[in-house]
Amino acid sequence: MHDDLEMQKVGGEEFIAFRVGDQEFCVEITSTREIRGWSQATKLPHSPDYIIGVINLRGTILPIMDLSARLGMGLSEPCERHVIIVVHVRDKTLGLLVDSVSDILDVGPDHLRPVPEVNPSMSSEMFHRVIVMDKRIICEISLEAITPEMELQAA
Amino acid sequence: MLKKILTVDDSRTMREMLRHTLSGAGFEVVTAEDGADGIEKLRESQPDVVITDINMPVMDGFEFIENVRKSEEYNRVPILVLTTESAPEKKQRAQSAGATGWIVKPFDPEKLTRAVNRVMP
Amino acid sequence: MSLDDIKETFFAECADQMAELETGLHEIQSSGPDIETVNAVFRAVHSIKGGAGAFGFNALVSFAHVFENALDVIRNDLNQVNEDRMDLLLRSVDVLSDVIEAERTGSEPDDTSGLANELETAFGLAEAAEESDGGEDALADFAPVMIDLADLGVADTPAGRRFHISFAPHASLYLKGHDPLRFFRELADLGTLSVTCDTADIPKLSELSPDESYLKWQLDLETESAREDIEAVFDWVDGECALSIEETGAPAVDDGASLDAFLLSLDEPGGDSGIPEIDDFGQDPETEPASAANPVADLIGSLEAADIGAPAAPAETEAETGNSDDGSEDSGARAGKKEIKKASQTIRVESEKVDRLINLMGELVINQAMLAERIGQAGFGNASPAALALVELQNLTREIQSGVMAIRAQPVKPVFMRMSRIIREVCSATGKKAMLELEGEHTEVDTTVIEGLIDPLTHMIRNAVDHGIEDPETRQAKGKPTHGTVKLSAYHSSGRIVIEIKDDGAGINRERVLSKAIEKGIVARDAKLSDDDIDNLIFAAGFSTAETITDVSGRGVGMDVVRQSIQALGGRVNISSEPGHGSLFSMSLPLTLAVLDGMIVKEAGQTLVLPVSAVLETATLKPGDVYTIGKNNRVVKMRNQLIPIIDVGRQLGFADKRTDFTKGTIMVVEGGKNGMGAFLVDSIEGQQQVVIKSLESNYKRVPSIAAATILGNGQIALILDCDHIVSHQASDPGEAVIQSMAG
Repeated sequence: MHDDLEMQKVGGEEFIAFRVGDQEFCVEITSTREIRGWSQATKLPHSPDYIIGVINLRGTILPIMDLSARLGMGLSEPCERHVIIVVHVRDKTLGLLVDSVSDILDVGPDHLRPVPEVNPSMSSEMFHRVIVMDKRIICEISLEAITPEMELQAA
Repeated sequence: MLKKILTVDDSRTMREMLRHTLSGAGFEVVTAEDGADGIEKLRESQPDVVITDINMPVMDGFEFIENVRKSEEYNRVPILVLTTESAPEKKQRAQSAGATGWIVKPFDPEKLTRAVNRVMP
Repeated sequence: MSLDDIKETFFAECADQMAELETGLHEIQSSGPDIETVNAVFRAVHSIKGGAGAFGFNALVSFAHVFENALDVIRNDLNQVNEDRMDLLLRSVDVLSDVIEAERTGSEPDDTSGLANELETAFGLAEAAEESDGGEDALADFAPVMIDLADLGVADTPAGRRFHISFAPHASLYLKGHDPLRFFRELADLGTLSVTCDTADIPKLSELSPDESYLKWQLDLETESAREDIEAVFDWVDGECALSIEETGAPAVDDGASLDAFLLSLDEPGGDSGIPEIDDFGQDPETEPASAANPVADLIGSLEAADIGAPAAPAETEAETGNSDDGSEDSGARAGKKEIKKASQTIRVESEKVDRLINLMGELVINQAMLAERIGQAGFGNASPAALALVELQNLTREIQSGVMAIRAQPVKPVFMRMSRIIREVCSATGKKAMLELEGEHTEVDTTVIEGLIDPLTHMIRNAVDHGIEDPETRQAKGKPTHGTVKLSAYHSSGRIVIEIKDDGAGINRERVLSKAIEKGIVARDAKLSDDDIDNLIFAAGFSTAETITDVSGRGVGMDVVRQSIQALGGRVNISSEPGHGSLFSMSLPLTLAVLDGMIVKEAGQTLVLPVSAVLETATLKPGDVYTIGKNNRVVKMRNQLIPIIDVGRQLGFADKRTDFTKGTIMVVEGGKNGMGAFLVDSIEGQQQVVIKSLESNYKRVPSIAAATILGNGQIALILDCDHIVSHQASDPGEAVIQSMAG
């Protein structure tokens, strides 16, 4: 498997791959700010079930999104086992709650595919591209797509 | 030691332009923002030449020049008037107030330097 | 400092000057012209013109020039102000602002010649313009032509012309800082110069006065320059001396008359030590007169022709002109000058520096809270030295914090003054006439709030003129003055700033508003609404009153968005109206968006914060305090009223509906429009200053929540939006009844 990756080191894009439930997903590394352990979030009233709440990230209020819930894979029960990937989308920062981080991938254009119309349990609009290598299929999550409600309201 | 010039003008922009031009020409520059401030700075810094605007709050250029000429110690310091007003009566007014010379804004940096050198002791 | 930096300074200064200009003209318009204000206004335009010239912003220079001249007319005669001219001046302010902006962004400024012509006509400027043009050119170029010094002294220089100059300074020449030596230097630059000093007028030592002028000089100049160049050397001393310049035919053959020869001769034995040192141009002019002596004349004896040596009689060219009169006193600049007061000391600080300081203060507050926690946890009692020291620390921090916040606090005046232009624009677009009146414009508020104020204020002012103020004919028919008045006022009240916009227009047309609201489904057809409720419908989402969307208010922003922006600042706004007489927008805002005095409460397992300023009273709930009205509406009797109970946990969705109403803590909170709610929470934990952290920067606006803060233990606590919670209590049947009972 890794030979595959090594062959692609030149001119590829980098992604962080992580697990949610029994599947692997990834996001572009350029959107990622940091990875941290779980901490208790403060609930926000009247928020969608996939928004767990907010945590204190060195003085900034950081919303935490339950990625499993957002992808329609069921609500998580956040605990120490979880990992938070802090990402930047548009001009906001938020944290994605995932089970674990698996890899940093350097992927060449050959292994990047558009999203197939498979898997009806997940809205394919939330994915940008799919990485196919060996037996792994890793969907790249479109951060813009999973955060529409965070767009700036019209002034 | 560098020759020292005191510039008196209520416009920040003008003060900076003068400083830019004059220090580039090798002079030490002290600034004041109106006539009253000018009198104080004159005492403190004892410049070789003074350049002043006319229209300023608190104490205008004419009064400033008159006050300088009335003072004991510094009454002979060369004072150049730098102003956009070119009407002859204004020139007369400056002259009778005691101005040494007159330069019209916008100034050409070379002309300014030449004028300063003309009156620099 | 580079030229680009100076350019930035110029535009920053323009902004200041424009503010001065706006304020000054506003004052002149409302209370008539006074010389100080007119001078300040004149100087503002004058400064802009000066700087603009330096950078070659020609469009700006030419318009500012006309504007300045118009103001000069008033400066010289305050009676020259009338309404039409005032209007022109105000329009000129707007145009000037636009031209500055165009120059700043490097785009093409609009053509200002139309307005410039109007100004020239209205103020009678046309003739004056011609005069000054001529004058400017003549004076701009005074520097003499420089001749290469190396050519001096060469005996067989091709002969140019020869001039004899007679120069006798008056005492006044010296008094103006002139030094004859310099004139000689300049003349020497023009060619070959020889100088003789005539000391005949020097009196005996006992009669010598240092302030008098006794010396005269005769100079001979061989030069290729023209007479004008020689005259130019004496440019500035017109009237300060007796001067004559005569062309004297072919230059004399080199007979030692050159300056160099003279210098050399000084070294010869027999030269007198009493010779004035004309060769040393660095010499202090004061020492010169004292050592004058006849030996000089002797040494140079061969020079003079017969007509030299006598004090100059008025000759052809530069006749002696007496000291010209002052001419008319520069009345504009001098008359009626108030006593000079020293301007209060101010310093300029980049706002980033202040912001950083404030952020650090915020961190300090949080850290302090953490320290308090630890100290408490460590078992130090409240009276222990550690705890007492902490209290002192907290007091000190609070003081520093006030001081730091005060740095950033600014008067609302600049924002208010901006509204002046907005009103002019709306009036111009709608044909209405309105004036702005200000009160309390020096009331201060934090920069963060000020910035957030501009948009909502702009829309409300536009609204007031566009929809409130009637057109001049209608107003006249109603017996109102043709000019409508929009009064903008600000004052502090219970830890907040209140801003009111009052117009004397037609007030809200309640029928139209109600029918529109019903049409848009905002209210039910048979809803019973008070006049006040109807008035405040304009803030409802999706409401827009303009039938004909004027160019102005129709810029797509409804009052609902205005209310939201004000709420985003932690404020509230409502309107009250008197049909036929006008409307009043009333806004209340926190003094700062940075910190808050908060009451920390616990409810449904959550730690929440309420602004202390919103809490009227607190009480522990006891059985029997709560009454039930209708099916499910619970109220508590406090402050001689029945106040509806708000189940905070339930309202925020943190808990199910409460069942036990016999314990907990009640906090009577004011919110909405004169509304009150009895917030029922589990307990009050304490009171402390908290740093306000925005939820919106990374998330979005959450209803019922104003912002968040970080407590001493690192946990996040949400800050409640009391306004929203009180106004949106869970509606049950009979709600309206309760509201009216609660008063």
